[in-house]
Amino acid sequence: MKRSGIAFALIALAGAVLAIIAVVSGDDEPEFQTVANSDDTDYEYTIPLGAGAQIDAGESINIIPAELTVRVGESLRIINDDDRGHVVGVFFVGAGEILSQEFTSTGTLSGGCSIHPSGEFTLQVLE
Amino acid sequence: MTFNELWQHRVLCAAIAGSIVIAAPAGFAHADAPGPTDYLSVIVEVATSESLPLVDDVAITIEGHDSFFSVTVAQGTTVEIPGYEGEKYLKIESDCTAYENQRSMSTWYNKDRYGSDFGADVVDHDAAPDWLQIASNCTLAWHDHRIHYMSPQPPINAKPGDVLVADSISFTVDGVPVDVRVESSLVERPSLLAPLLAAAGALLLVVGINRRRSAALRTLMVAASVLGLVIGGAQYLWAAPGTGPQLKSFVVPLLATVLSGSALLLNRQSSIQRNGVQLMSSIFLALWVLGRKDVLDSALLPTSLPYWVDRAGTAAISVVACAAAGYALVGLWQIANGNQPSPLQA
Repeated sequence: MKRSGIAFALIALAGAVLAIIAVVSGDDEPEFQTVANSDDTDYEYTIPLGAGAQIDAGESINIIPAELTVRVGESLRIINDDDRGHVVGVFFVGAGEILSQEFTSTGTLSGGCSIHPSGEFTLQVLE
Repeated sequence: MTFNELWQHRVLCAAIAGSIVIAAPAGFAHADAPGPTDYLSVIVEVATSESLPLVDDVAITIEGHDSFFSVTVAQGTTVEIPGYEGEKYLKIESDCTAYENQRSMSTWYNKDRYGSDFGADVVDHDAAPDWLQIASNCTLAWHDHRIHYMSPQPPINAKPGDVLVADSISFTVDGVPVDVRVESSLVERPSLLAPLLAAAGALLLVVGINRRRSAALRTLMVAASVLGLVIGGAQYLWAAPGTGPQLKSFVVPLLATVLSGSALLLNRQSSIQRNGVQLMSSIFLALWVLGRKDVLDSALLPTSLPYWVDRAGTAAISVVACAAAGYALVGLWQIANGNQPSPLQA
């Protein structure tokens, strides 16, 4: 194959590789480490059965703070005893599930919250 | 005007038009057209007062999988939609004209799928509404943030099928209160097999073509541009009225088709012209692919085509566009260095 042909093939290959990389690296995962059902936890919150129904009825419940500041190495546990899943900031806890997260990096993450009156939950992880 | 001058003018016009279309922002009224998504929103209940049933000919739908909430009524019916803070936000008059209150915070917050504070300085819920007519077809469609999850990244620990959003939207039709309950769920992402196979096939094709003494790659580039036109056209036509389908979804591949077709017709003309035109067309097509790369791995696509066609076609086009650009660059580089282009570039 001539030099121009080789260069052409390499450019085409590079384009294909770049396209694949662009797809695979499209989403930035938060750098959290999941610790399932850990015994040790620094922050624990329980969503009681009927919490979702109370919210549907327009009642104001206060289970989790709107803002939570934690430190790297600490962990958060959310126990969902309700019969429906709930979004808590950047986390989702299915019905009857327990979510345990240990924080391995600093940062601030905000998101909606289906069990807080403000509808928002902000988590700040410090060094 | 000579043949060459005529073609130069045409190519220049196409290049300028393409640059404008690519660089231009989306239409302001609908700043965020439906795109690929991993969430599916559905209406689970439409509730009205038992004593005041909903009038006939009212269509309440979700458009763009999870993007827009839409209300359509018959002529003679009025609709009033309050904003997030209960302020006057949208309305449809009995003559089918639809208006948006420019002083509502919801007007500006809903410009973007994930929320926007642009225009916040004109928000005033205590002042008289500043109604701007936005439609005249008895239909309203808007980004209501209560119908979708407010991040492209699903929450940690969410699995396909999990309901991430459960909320309701209230408004009135001819004064009758209507409450629409909506749920939005996470949908499983597709396999990358189809686009990877298509990209690999396209790569083999262009490398194989390079070994032949023909203008086959230029023909392939025309075919890729036409395929892009079909895919982009399907995306444009799929979007419901009022949800702001973007012209660039099919105008860019249309211009790439014109330019790549010109490169093919310029076969007997100057190598510089031919390679330059091909470079332009491939750059347009590559930018078009880059702008829609999310179709490759998103669960739901804004198209009436089978999803695998959209994904595989986009992947194959990306390879052909990159190869054609590389081919044109090599040709131009050889000319610039005083070398005779290879038979393929000639």
